[in-house]
Amino acid sequence: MVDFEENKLIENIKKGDNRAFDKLVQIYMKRAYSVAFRYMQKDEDAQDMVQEAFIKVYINIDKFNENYGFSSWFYRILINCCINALKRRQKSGSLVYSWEKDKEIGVDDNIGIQNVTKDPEEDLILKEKNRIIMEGINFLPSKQKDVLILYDIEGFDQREISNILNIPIGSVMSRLYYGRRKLKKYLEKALKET
Amino acid sequence: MKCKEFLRNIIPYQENKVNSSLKSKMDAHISKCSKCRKELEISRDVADVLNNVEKIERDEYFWNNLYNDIRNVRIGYNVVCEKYHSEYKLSFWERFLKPAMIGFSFGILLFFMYFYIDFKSGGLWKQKYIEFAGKEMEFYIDEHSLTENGNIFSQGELTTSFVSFQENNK
Repeated sequence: MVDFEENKLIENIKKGDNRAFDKLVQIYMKRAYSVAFRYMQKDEDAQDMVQEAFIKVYINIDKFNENYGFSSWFYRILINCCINALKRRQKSGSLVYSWEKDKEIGVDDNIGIQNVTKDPEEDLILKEKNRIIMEGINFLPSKQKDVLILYDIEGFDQREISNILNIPIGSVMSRLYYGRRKLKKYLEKALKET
Repeated sequence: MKCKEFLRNIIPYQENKVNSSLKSKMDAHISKCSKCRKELEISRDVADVLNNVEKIERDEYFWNNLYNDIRNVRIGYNVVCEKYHSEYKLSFWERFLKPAMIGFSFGILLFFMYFYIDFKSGGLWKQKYIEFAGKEMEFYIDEHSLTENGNIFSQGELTTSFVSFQENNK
């Protein structure tokens, strides 16, 4: 979408046009959910974060400066929501999201997920691989984790990440490099164990 | 080129985002330095692994639900806001002074209406008034306006007598 159109939508939202807001939701919803899911690792939590972020945008739209990109502002809000929720989760006891725990209590993580592969065995291997990778990412320090999720998994631009996280591009690259190194060590260790 | 400089530019190098002079320097460095070559390999491997992480895909039903949830939260927020603005965001005049003045005026109106009706119909308060006024008159005549020998004072004498009466009873 062209920034001009986006700015027009935001201008209309500021004037009180709710349809413009709904249109903005439709544009950003899918990617926002994807980013939130990488952080929260749980479908319901990710949905809650997306809702929270959009409502924060709706409430604070007057504070948004149109000279800066809406995308960066929105994802900054979303990531802050996720980080705060994870902190709350840590305080309440469960340090890291555990897939085993969900299996124990019978949470079905396949709700709404499309079948990518037709072969169930292949599907299982893919899921296991993803699980190990996401566990590895969750063990990284928060700064490196943010960059790895946004850059390597979600495919954000370096400049965009620099705007979202409010850090220089040089820091984005160094965090990316150190994050990848740490993740490699974790993955090697995890593969040996399995 | 030193290893430190190479590692600083490893990500743009890996993605072919460095200029040609820097690229040739980094190419030359990597052909000699096995440590940096290993670092580049690690970075490439992990990037490949992460780029192939399963994409989040959901069906249309899921997206519609999420969209409706967000929309409902937004509508709920609007309703709460309208209620808040209509109930709590009133001015001081509208919130306190106006109702107080209306209430006060209505009270006074009722008060006068009650006494008017009572006096017109010769009710309890009229009788009490007559009783009270009569007693006042009696007291006035008994205590102030009569002399010891029973004569009534003139207006000026009455005032002097009243003042002296007050002083004697202090």
